[in-house]
Amino acid sequence: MIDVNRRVLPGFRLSLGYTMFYLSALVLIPLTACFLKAASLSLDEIWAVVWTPRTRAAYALTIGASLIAAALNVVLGVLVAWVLVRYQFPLKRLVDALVDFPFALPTAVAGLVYSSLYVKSGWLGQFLVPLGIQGSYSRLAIVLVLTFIGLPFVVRTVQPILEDFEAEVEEAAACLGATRGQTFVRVIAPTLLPAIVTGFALAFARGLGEYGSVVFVSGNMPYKTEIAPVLIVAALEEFRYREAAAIALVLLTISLSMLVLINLLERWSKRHVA
Amino acid sequence: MSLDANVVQTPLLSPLTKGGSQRGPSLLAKGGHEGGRRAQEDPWAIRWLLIAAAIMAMSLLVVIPLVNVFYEALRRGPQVYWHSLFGDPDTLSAILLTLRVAPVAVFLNLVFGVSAAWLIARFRFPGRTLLTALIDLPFAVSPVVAGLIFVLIFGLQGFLGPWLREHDIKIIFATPGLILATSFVTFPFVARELIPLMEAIGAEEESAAVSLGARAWHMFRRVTLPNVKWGLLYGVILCNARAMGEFGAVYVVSGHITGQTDTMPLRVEKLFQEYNMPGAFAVASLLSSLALVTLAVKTALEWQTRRELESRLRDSSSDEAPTARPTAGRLHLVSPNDAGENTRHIEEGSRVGISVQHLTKRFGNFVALDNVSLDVPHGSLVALLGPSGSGKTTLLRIIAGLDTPDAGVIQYEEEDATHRSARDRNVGFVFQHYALFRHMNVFENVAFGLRVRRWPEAKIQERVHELLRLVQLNGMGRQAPSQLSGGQRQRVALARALAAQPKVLLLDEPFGALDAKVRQELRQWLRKLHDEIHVTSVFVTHDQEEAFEVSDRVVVMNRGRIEQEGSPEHVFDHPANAFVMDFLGNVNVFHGRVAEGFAQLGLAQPGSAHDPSKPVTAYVRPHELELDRLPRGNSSLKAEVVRVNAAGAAVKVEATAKDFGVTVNVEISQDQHARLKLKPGDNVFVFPRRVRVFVQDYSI
Repeated sequence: MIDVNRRVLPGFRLSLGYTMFYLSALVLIPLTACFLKAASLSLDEIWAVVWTPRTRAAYALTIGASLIAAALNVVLGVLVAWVLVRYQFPLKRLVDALVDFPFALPTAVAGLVYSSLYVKSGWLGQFLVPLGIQGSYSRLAIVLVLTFIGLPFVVRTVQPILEDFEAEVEEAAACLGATRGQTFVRVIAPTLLPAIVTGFALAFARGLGEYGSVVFVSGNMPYKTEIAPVLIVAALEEFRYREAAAIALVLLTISLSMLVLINLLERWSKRHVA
Repeated sequence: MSLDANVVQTPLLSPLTKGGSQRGPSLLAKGGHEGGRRAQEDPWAIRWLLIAAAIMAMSLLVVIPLVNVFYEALRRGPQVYWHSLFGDPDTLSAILLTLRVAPVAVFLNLVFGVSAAWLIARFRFPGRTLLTALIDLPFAVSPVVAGLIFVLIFGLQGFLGPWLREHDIKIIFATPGLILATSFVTFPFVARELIPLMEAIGAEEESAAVSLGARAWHMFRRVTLPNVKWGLLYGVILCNARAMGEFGAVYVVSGHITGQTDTMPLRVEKLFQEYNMPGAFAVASLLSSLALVTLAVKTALEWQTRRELESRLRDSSSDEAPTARPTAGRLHLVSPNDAGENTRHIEEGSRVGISVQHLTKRFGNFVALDNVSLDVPHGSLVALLGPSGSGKTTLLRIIAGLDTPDAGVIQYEEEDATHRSARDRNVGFVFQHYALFRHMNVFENVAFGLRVRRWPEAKIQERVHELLRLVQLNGMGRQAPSQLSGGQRQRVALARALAAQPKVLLLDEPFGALDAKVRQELRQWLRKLHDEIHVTSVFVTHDQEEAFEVSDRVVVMNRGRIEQEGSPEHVFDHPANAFVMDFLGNVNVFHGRVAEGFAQLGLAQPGSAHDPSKPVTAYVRPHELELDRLPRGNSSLKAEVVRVNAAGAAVKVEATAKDFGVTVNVEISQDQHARLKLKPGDNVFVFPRRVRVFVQDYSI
């Protein structure tokens, strides 16, 4: 890449100025306001707000459900990516395009349809509910809808790595006497691992913040099916702004550490791929 | 084309973004893998089991819910469906509100995205990495928190709440709040889509536009925008899908005032709470259609981007077609300067075309140019010759105004041009990889510099056709650059550079990307062309043969300094130092010491009167050595023939002088070879005709 000179190409000051202005006005200043609001409480007060049995249950549920959903996404994502890259089958392009559907679909719609599919009269619930499987208004429902939301992440991180995978490596493994299974476990899987971990982290991070779909399917029962973002909404609706800000601070801390973690993971995986 | 590793491709992208143009290059590799390499084939049972499992998972998670939305929406018949959507005034107002809010948010983020992408992809500045990471921040924040932060500022109890109430401005629980929250959530999309794309495209075409005289807006509209249009559209589509579908952030700031602040997703929730399932599913089906349209457009754009990237990769790797043989065109060209004036100056040879004085340029700790001064005579063709990293391209770019020196002065025709921008210098610059505008045909490429100077259309037609004739491409004006061979592209680039009658023509490794045969033909052609148009020209090369064949003057550079400057004959026959000698071709090297004014070497020859303690190195070109079967006096070296290669104009003989432990390469004529009949193992004596001795200040 050419070392581009500020004097040669126009617009450095204008683009720097506008970018900084818009970023500050829309993102940085509002986020700071949240910290300031929370800071108007003392540490003890913050602790009293963010660490109650009800909030603890909500954190545990949010993190737990996101972890399980992300793990499911790893299994399904690697499977789908593998099939899409390696095999030919009818409607493959359609399947490939549909992988992104959960991302393009408004989360409220996802919540609405998932809540209706798994109730007793729903298309899937009519088979599952008699077996005692409650896919609606339960923790399982949250895991299901988060799995839907997070599906594209692992597929779309693993797919390019698999596409770039050199055939020679597998051929070498075969020449050295490895079976297909051995080749997968010893050669392919380790190569995919960084991408899988990144995809997992992305799906997990998405699950932590998800709100729209979950409020439809969970029933929002305190201690049972109430996730952390619901606590904020509840606090807001009762005009307890500072408490809402304090809980938001907890969520922000978690998601910012995820952001840092994912960046580190990405760097690590880039090193490994290279 | 190169992807800059500096770009932090932070992964909190949408998966759609991941699947987009960034993946383009890797998708290209796909074809190679699907050819059924045997070692990659799985048994059919496993294959179909995995396919079945994948399709099943996709059906359960995606297809069944998708079908269910439309089934539930339509199962009570089209009339109920129609009525649920448009018979309910609150639903109707929700649809209209979404159609009002989303475009505003998309527009705001579009402007921001273009600005941020231009900044990050085109400039290097402190804090760039941090800024790139900050753009992704909204992806990491829960939508509910995003809504909350705006309530905390603009809400009744917020920081600005009292002031807003005093002035009767409503933001929260009103449309401005919805726009703010939606913009926050969809903030990164356009920027994240554009940054990698613009990095991949590179800044060459934009630099070319500027050097051709385009102003900022013209460059952006004619070059940048056409190049990124698909990526831009793609970002807008994603941004729009998320903007229309956003729930959490909007939920918090809207206050759920039915008929006033309910967007479509919020309306779905309200109808759901009211157990109005037909209504909820009807709105949901609209939103699902939006998602499907988004996917369709995305897929189409992906193919489009992939095609363009493919042709771009082809462009950069393809070479001259064997049929294209240029010969110098007959001159139908009005010389850039007045012809009479040119002749006079060629005769006088005294006026200086370009003058650089005391140029210094550093990149970090690396000194690219170290106090360089150089005069290029008016109307001459000068070669900057040197190994890579010697500073020759940097010097050329500074002369063009594409780089700025840390110190020093550049003069054009004795006028100071140091602080003139590339646009105002009126130079013709031929880029190494041509930097043709891919979206314009040959004619438009050549016409670009004239259009930005607002030439009248008739004169543009005349001038472009004249130039196309000159570069032997008449009749090819409608071709796209991608349809041309490498040599033809090179000539289009040259015609484009010459179009606006530049004072100076600068060429950066003009033949570097071509194969040997085409190179040879093109450089003879360039020489003839220059003889006809006499524009002051400087070209960069690392090929000494090319420099000697084409130029009037050669400037040899090394490590940011000029080692020697002069006519090709002078530089070749009288190299100023060991570096020049060595760089200019094959050479035999003998190490020795200076003693009593004579260099004691493997070959006894008078040396120069240097300090006796100093080691010296002697250089003898292979054709400056002679061979014979018998010794002649004491200046001969006894050696044994190791190898004889008689294929070529000269016969190359390799011989080892065992007494001194050196191997010498000698070139003798075919006649002499016929006389001596040398074969490996023969003893011969080597005589130097000419030796150059340099005291060792340079080591190879």
